[in-house]
Amino acid sequence: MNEQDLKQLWKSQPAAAPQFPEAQLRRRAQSLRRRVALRNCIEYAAGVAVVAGFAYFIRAYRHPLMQIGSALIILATAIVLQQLHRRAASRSLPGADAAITSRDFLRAELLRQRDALRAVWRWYVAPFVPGVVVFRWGVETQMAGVGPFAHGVLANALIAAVLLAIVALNWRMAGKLQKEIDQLDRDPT
Amino acid sequence: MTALPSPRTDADPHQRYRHATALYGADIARFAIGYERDAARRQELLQEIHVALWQSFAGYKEQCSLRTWVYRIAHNVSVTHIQRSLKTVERIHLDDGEADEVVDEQSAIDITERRLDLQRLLALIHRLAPLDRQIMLLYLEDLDAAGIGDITGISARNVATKIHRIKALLAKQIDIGSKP
Repeated sequence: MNEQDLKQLWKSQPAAAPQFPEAQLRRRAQSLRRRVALRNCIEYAAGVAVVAGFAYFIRAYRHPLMQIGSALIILATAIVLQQLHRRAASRSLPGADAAITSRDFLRAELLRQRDALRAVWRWYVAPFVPGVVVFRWGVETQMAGVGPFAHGVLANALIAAVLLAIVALNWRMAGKLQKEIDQLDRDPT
Repeated sequence: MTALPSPRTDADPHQRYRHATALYGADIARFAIGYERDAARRQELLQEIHVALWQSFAGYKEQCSLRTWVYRIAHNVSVTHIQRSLKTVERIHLDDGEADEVVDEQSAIDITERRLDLQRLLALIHRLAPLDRQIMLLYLEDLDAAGIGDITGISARNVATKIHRIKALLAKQIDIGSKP
């Protein structure tokens, strides 16, 4: 097989060229927007559930540390939801902005994803830390082993491990993206 | 390719979209094959490309040729699609030696040699890093180095180097050049 045969082989594969009517394209664009809106709604619903749960703890457990911890976790949830809203709003459906050169587009996408992953600890994990620490402090010192909360070093270590794992996983993924960016930068333009 | 009359520069975006897809619809469909092997997900990708293209023509002021515009959007939306994919596939780069060892898994399947060649080619394409994949797809569409450079943002000289590597890779995997 020579070079032209290969190109002919590539071009001869059955690849239908659909012509989407305008109404269908409009519906599809709306459906993509709805999908983003649904994902945002699920995130907000999860946030509301967390707020409701810790609001209940404030009323149900009359221990100051647990109440302060719960209030801080509610505040953290509000911060995270605001961040999710801000970050989701900055992403729009591609249009003319997708017509830049592929190298620039790819690099910008990789940078955006890398920065978002690197920042997870700051806007997603860190806001919860004060609330979780104070809440757990209350559980350990004021609950005297009763209530539906796990006690002891193991429980606290597990919570810390989950938070650290979230940060580590995101940093690892950001590191992989950085390698791709480095590879792209090494390639001469 | 049949030459279609080009819409006026002030034509409405949908008319431009229709014109562009009449000219390059099949190319877009082949690009989608090069980016997504799963048929259902490929259909999704194809629709995403068409939506992006349709939306893009409101901003098209002939900054570049129509083909360059269409190809850039098709590739950039496809790259976003594969970046979004949860599957973490180790990609190969044309510069890496590992590219030589990728495809050799379909030999036992009873299909025609031509189909097998296409399968090998697709398997190879699907393993390439995004920019290398794009260059390979554009090469297969018979674009020259300058045209590929215009779309990718890589100089024609470096595109030519990459194409040289693509040919070497294809020669090893698909026996290109071994038969008259």
